[in-house]
Amino acid sequence: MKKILLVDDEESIREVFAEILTEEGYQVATVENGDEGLKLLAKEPFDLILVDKKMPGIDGFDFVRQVRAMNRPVKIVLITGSISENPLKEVDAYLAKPCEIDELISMVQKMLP
Amino acid sequence: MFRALQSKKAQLFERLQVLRQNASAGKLDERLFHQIETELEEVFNDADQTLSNLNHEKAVSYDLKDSLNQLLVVQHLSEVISRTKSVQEILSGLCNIAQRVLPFSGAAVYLIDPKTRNYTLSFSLRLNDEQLAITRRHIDEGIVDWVMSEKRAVAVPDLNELKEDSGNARGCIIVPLQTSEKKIGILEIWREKLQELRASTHFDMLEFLARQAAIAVENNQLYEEVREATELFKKSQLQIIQAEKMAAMGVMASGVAHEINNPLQIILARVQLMLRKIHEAEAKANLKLIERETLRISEIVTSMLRYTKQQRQTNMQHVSLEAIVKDVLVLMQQKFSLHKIEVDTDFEPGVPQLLLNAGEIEQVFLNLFENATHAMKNGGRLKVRLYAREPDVFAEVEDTGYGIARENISQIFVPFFTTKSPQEGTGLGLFLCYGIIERHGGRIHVESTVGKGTKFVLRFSVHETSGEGHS
Repeated sequence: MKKILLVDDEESIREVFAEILTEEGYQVATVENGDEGLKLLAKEPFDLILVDKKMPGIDGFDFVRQVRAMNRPVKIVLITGSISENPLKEVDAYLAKPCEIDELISMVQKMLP
Repeated sequence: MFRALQSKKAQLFERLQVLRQNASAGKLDERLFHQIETELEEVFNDADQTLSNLNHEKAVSYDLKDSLNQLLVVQHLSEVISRTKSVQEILSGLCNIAQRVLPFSGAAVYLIDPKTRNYTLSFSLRLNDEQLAITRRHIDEGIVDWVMSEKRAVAVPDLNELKEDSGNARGCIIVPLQTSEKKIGILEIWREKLQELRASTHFDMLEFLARQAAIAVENNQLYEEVREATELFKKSQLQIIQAEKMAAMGVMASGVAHEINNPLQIILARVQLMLRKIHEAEAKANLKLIERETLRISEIVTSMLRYTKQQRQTNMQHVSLEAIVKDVLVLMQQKFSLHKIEVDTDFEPGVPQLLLNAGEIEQVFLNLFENATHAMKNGGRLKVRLYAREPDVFAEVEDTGYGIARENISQIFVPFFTTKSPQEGTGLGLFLCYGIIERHGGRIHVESTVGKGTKFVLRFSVHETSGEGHS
């Protein structure tokens, strides 16, 4: 079973995304900020990270850079309100917020074939 | 003089008395007789002198009366003019008063248009089409220019009449309307008989009236200019306020949009999740409605973000000017070939990258290329040069179009100034370019020759555009 780490400061988003992805057959872990995400990543491997761009503490960008510095073979999708500005090359894909369930699922399927 | 004459008269009577007494005594005093004769002669001479003096004084008094009259006329004109608000009123006042100085059969006033510098018929009185055509000819044939350079009123006989009776020809008097610094126009007065004039006095007076009117017209034109400038200033101030409002709204909208996105995401995901699980028709229909409306909100937020994107695009990045120019040239390719414009590029290798807002600089080049295309509607050559001269980077955009008139050069960066029709231009393009270049710490200037073409030179300081804190 593929493992997904979801990093988002909004609890309701964590819940609903986790529910959707679990129903799709993924194993989902959720954390509410970047620090916790990094801690979890240090302990166990993940196949995909979904991370919100705008978070208190270390934001999505910093989080992505630190994950890449860990040198793990993990795909990263950044969830953001506006994709157009400041594209980040360390990211595998962007997901525009708000996204529809089908978009979320097909994006994850594309990342984890 | 008069008293001396009377005392001489008294002396003469005394002498005559003596002469009579001597004569009745039978003595003719020859010496006394001659004396009386001489004195009589003196008295007559003195009397002549007195009479002539009297005549002179009378003449002087008439002249004084004339001058007084003229002064009154001038005062009247000054009053008329100082009360007057429009050029038309000034000119009609001038003609009415000139009529009192020198009765005429008709008159016309041509004013020099401050913008085109052409003589324009601005007022006419009792002149038929043929006479107006003649006054027009005086302008076209250079007579008026000559009068203007003479700076005095000149009588011009009607050439058709001259053949018959050169002594008493009809014709007109051209009076320059000019202030000490500026040519304002001319007054043409038509007279049936030119020769009846007491030339110098009348001409002096007309010149004086014309000068007063010229000052009034100039003041009026200056007032108009100030009024227009103030209006323009107010307009551009409004524009700036509007732009600031838009910017503030942009910042707010983008903040709001981002805050709304999270709750929207939750609602949308929840609704769609429920739609997957619930099969009861009415509940499904309601969920569909909620889904549709949520997507609508999302759509509104997205377009709000898109709308304010320009305000948010303040990212300065190190970019190559050459890359930007090449991109814009590609965009314009179709238009250039449509107007048979050949493009020459001369990009010096190794021009340093600059810290720029690429979108804005693209806008500048787009504008300059559009203007060049407009100036070369029937084809031409567009030359684009990029080069570095420590510590600056230069970009030149040169066309072979119709050029910019000298009097317009200083205005081209002024907001709303345009020589294009309202459909073709807003008069804001170069104003915006100027603002963008200024914001980048650069300079833009123009060189142009009518009939040959126009060159815009943009200068960016490497130092200015490589610092931090541009946002």
